[in-house]
Amino acid sequence: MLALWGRVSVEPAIVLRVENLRTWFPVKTGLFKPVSYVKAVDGVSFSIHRGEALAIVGESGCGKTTLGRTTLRVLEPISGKIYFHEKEITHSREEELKEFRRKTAMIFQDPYSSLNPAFNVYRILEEPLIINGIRKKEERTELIYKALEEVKLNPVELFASKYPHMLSGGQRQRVAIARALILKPEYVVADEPVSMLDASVRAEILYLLNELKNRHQIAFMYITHDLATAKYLCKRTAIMYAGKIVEVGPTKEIISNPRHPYTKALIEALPDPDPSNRFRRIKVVPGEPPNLLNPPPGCRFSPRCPYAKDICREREPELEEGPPGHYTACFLKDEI
Amino acid sequence: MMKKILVTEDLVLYYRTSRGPVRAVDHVNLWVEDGSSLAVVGESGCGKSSMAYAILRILPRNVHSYSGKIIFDGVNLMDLTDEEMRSKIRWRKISMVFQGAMNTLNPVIKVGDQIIEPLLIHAGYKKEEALREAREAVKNVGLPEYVLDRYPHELSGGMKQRAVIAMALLMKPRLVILDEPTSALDVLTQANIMNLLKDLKEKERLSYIFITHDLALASELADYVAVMYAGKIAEIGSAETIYKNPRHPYTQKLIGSVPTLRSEKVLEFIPGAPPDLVNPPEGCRFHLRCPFAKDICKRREPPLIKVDNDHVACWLYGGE
Amino acid sequence: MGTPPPTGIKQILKEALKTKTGMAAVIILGMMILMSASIPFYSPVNFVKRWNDLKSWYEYPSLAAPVWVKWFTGTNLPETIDLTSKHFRVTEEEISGHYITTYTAYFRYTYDDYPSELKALIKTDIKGKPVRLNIIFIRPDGEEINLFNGLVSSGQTTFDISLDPKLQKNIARFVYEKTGTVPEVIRPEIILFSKSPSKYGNEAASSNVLRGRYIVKFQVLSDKKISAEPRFIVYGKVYGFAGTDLYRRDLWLGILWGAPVALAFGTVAAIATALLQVIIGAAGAWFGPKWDELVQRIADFFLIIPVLPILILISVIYKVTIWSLLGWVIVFSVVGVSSKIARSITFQIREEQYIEAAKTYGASKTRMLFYYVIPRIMPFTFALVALNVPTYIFLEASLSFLGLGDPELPTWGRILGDAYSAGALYQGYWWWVILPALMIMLVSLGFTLLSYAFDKIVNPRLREE
Repeated sequence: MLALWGRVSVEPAIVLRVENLRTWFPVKTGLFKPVSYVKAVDGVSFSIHRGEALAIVGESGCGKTTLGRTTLRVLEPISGKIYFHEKEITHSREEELKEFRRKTAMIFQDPYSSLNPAFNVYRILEEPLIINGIRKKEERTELIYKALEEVKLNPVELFASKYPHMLSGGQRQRVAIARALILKPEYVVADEPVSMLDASVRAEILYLLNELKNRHQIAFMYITHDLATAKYLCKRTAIMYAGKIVEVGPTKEIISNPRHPYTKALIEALPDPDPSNRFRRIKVVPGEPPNLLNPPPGCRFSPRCPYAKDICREREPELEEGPPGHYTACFLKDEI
Repeated sequence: MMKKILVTEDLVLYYRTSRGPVRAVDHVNLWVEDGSSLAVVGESGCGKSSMAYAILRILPRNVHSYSGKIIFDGVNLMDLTDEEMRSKIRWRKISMVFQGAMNTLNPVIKVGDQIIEPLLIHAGYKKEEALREAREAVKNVGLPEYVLDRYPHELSGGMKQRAVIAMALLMKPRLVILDEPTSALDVLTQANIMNLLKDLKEKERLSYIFITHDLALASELADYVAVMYAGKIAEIGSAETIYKNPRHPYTQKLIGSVPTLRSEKVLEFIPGAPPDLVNPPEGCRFHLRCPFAKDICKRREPPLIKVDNDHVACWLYGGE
Repeated sequence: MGTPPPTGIKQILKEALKTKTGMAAVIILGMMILMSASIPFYSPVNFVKRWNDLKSWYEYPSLAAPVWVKWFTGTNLPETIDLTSKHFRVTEEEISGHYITTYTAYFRYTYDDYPSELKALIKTDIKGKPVRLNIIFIRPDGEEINLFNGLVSSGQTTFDISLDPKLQKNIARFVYEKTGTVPEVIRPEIILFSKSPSKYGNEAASSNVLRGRYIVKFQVLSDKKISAEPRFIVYGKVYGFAGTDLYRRDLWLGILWGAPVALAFGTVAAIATALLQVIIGAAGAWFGPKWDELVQRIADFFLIIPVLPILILISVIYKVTIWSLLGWVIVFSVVGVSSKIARSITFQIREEQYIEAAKTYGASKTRMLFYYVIPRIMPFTFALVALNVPTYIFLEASLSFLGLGDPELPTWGRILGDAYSAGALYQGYWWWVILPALMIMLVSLGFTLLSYAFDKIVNPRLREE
């Protein structure tokens, strides 16, 4: 029905767009051998809109962290394109990226090592302001106190004078969030922001991120290995395996109706807190993720896939739309 | 009522630090039934790892207090000498898989030689016999024999962890303590290891103490769950009770904070942070963050109160 | 959640005071600093000039031991008795157009040992022809010896009674009258003060010291009225806290002045070299493998250079001041242990997440180096800095000892060098050697203790938690 009338509302603008992004790390495997590459990100395309959070879910070593850093130009891709507000920044030099840096930010996994232990909170939050040209001290102080208010670290004067080692993990992560948001960025990459926090604190941080994202209409990339937390922040999720996106779509759909065999295996392997779990064996997939120096030919998951056919080992599948908005890179997606 | 293979009574382990004694294990009573698994869950710094060290008497140099009773198979381990603990109990009757053990394998010694070490040292085996046992053990955990001839860096994470589990099972212990056995592994490998642990429990009739902060993971193995908070047991009961009908406010919030894939739920969180183990609050350790705190909670520590098949350390359930 | 190492110098000092070594170090160094600070109250402003102006020290005894030696040996060693013009009473007589002006002074001599030297001086402002002067020495036993009888012209005239043989004729006669022999070597300061002079002219026994009231008279014969300033100095054998050297200089002042020089030189050199080393080591590791290679090669080059011989060469060829010396020392120490430490710490810090975070908000590499990296490295170098201060003090002292340091400043090394040249130890002038050496040792001890205290605080492995 809706298809007849077309879209009623205009989609918000695309903030970040990547096309066929490849980030490879050169590695010398021997004195006389040619350079090999660890193909951490190997052909990834997606876009993130204003106010939207996209989850990148995968296991360690799948390239999700590298992907996040590449989109922020902390790393430089070897091929492909990155567009920020449709302006290409793939290979821009640091001097040209000043505007970009002001409008983007990153939140890290480890709340202790992402804050300079020699600086107090005020100083930590002041750095981005100083570097980005906020010259007047009063202006900076005001912005700092406002940022601490937003992440609910009250009283702000007290927290501003503390050092990271005086704060709990949750509090430190709030400082990291405050620092990321203090310049009102338009695109933020959050790399496992809650996985090093205690369970009882995680939800608070996730809700905070959601609130801030909605209030300021920030485009978010949320990187995690825990699909369950993605549900609370991100409407869309992309599953990553061995440097490629194997499935992407609405988070609820991905969880309730996974189409890629890897996604299925992942969901099977992630337990809910259910005491009857102990009476069942988990359906598992054998093997380990592939060596990114020499990924297997064809579909990267084929060596472990219970459904693999010959075509899977010969050609690499592309992301194809299944149900609307739900893309899967698998030749057998309609059969399983 | 099944036999209890391990019971601790008033177990205490305090560490000495420059700021004062750290009350890591503070009068802990728990028990493991023979052939069942007890999951000890709690957040960082609650004392769960220290509890495992207390049971096996693996103590650092700065111990302030170590007391209580540890009754294993009828014998109070506290009455044994250090030599007896070493030769009769550790690795033979009770063994342990430490947190991150797979990363502490010696990188310059072959895996096989490392696995047989406890046999050579504790049991006086000859190398040939020991290797025979090792081959058995390694098969038991689903590893091919050639693993014995490899070095740790040649094995994947999952394989290393299986090797470490094989080491723990080598002398056929009755009780195995596992401290975050899957923390460094990725999700699929973790699932594999959990399956292995389930199989071994069946096959070898093992009892487990499974220590983890991951409540969802604990449910894969736990028959009973003990929830620790600030060095004390908050609640201990069957898995069904803890997950479906928790009584202690902390357990309720903790279960509420675990995100679920397969069902809709609003995540809970607890404001504040766990207390300092050097200077814990008066009365019930949780009262400062508890939505139901009463006057008595601030003044007196609640004992473990039995409610049906559950034991709760909370004044809400009587015991005054 | 343990406490991380303190990062500010104030925090580190506070913690250092809590340890025993730290307390000891602070006490020792505090004394040194107090010494340096008390100088303005103590000694004249242009002391440096005075130290080198040997003529200005004439009123001090030469090679006198410190005063406190008296308490250890039990002998009441003599201190200098300086009879200046205000000690002299003037009487004038006029006889048929000639004026006889007599200046009389007396002193009590109660010591157990003889004076070390005697000197008479007179300052007159006569215009015209010279006048006749008579210097008369009257002993408690009534014996009178005429020390000088001759003409004196205007200005200051000095009579080195102990050293000038021309003035000793009458003394020789005095001995001859008493003993019947003329000694080969005449020691007026002993003969005039001994009960019974021996034929050898040397007496050591305290029993032979003639104690009592001595009188000195200066008689001036002139045509006109004159005014003169007489002075008679009976030099003692002890002086001050630290004695005097061969050139009569008050060693305590020299040692006192040496303190700020040593402290300043040592600390400036140690801090400056540490800072430079840290910057170079960190910058190399920070900016990438090519820069790191460059710094490493420079480091190798510098490590091969023998610093002391080159400094000696430079001092020999060029005239060196304390500042240029400092400059050269710093130049040659620009790479060292601290740069290696800085390098390895920088490699660690590079991987930390807050550095990556800084990149995302646009921090430049240079800003990160100076604001994030180097401040984190500095606390680790404090222990080394403290340990290096005595090294640089030693270096300066060695050069000064060899006579190659600053030719004007009185430094401890220079004092020791002077002592060595004068053969002080062999001659028994131990205070000239031991006291400056003790100061150097104390300063080294103080800084070494400070370095231990710092090390315990900053080195994470040594912290007891």
